[in-house]
Amino acid sequence: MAESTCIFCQTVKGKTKLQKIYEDEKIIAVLHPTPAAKGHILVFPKKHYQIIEQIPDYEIGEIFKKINKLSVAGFEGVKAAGTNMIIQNGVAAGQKIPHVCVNIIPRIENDGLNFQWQPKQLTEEEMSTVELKIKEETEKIGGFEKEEKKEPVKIEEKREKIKEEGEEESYLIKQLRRIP
Amino acid sequence: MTPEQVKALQEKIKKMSPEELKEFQKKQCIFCQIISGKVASKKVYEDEVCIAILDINPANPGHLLLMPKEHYQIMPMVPEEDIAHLGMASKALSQALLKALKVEGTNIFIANGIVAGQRAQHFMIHVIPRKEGDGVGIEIPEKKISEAELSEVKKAVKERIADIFKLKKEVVEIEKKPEVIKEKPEEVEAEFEEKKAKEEEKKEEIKEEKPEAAPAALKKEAEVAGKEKVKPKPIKKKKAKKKEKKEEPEEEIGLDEIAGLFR
Repeated sequence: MAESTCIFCQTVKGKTKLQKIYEDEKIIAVLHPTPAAKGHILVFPKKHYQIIEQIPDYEIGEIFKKINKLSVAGFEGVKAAGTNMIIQNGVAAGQKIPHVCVNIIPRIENDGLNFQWQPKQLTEEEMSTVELKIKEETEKIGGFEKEEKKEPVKIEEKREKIKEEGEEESYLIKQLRRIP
Repeated sequence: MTPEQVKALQEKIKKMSPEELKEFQKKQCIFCQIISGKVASKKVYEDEVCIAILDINPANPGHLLLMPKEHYQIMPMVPEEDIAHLGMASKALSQALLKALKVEGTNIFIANGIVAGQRAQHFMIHVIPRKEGDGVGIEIPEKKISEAELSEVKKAVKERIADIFKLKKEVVEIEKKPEVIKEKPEEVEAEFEEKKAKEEEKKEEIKEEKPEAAPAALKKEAEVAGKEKVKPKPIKKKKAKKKEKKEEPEEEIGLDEIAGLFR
């Protein structure tokens, strides 16, 4: 799905009727139009990322800081007794809109929701295999990029641009001179 | 436990200072014991802030529990910088699961409070590998809601957001004012116009301030938090810089394939 048809990208541009409750330079929070529970909030980055792995670390950090605060706001706003936060990352995980989004769902007693799962029974051997496989990947996890790196300005490119502009100007001036 | 024992325990807890209570909770918490190594677990990731272990009752093979090393009961109790760290760690773990287990997606799931399904007294983030048709019951139902109810919720939540994010309170007050004016139609028109004009001015002033006010306030908070933790920070940054370079070959994971499933 292209950005032009993505409902969240359209919301960023102010082209949908979604009820906006918070906005800053990086994220927007809206009320879910068909909520799972009263006060169901959707938080999404303004930039079009399809899955969380595409989001830079510092932005994920910011999103988590914000969802933490927004969940408290939702929780207090509807006088809930708990909250669930769910990210559906990928179609298989239930993601419907290809734009990363965090669900904040305030919970009350007997609200008819149940996000529980039936535990799967794995043998000790199966658990160990899974552990080893995952460790192979998690070993590669090292320091997070906590701050946005400012793109280094390429001096050569800039110089070239100036040159081009300069040439064009002088060309125009030359042209002017030619006019009798 | 007998009812008397429960009572005695409750009174003991009541008398505790916050520090003592925290110590007490830590001792009772199975996850704190896992973190300190007193109870065995299948640990797959650890850094200075958090650890991740395999859930022994997994929704799917590879179901991870990511938790701060410090004992916090619920997410709002966790310091902001640690929340950010946990966010980055959950992204990295999700990526590791996609790659290691060749799954098609992940759920990142947080439960705060017993009604939300929280079972342990230690805040944690579930990272659950998912495959199409695996029967894991994390589906979010959609219910119809009336416009009136939705705007009522909006008002209540926005008020809390203004408080929590320390947006200027005037914004809320001014939004209310037009209603008051509507109730008094007898007022002289000129006066009404004057008020309206003043409000317009105020609104404009606030509109200009509002978008910057929130992030600025947050930045200040972050700065204050940063200053308190000055010592450990430089070390972290050095580590981060060294390892960033190694982490670059990210693209081979086939993230595009997972993202491509939407098309």
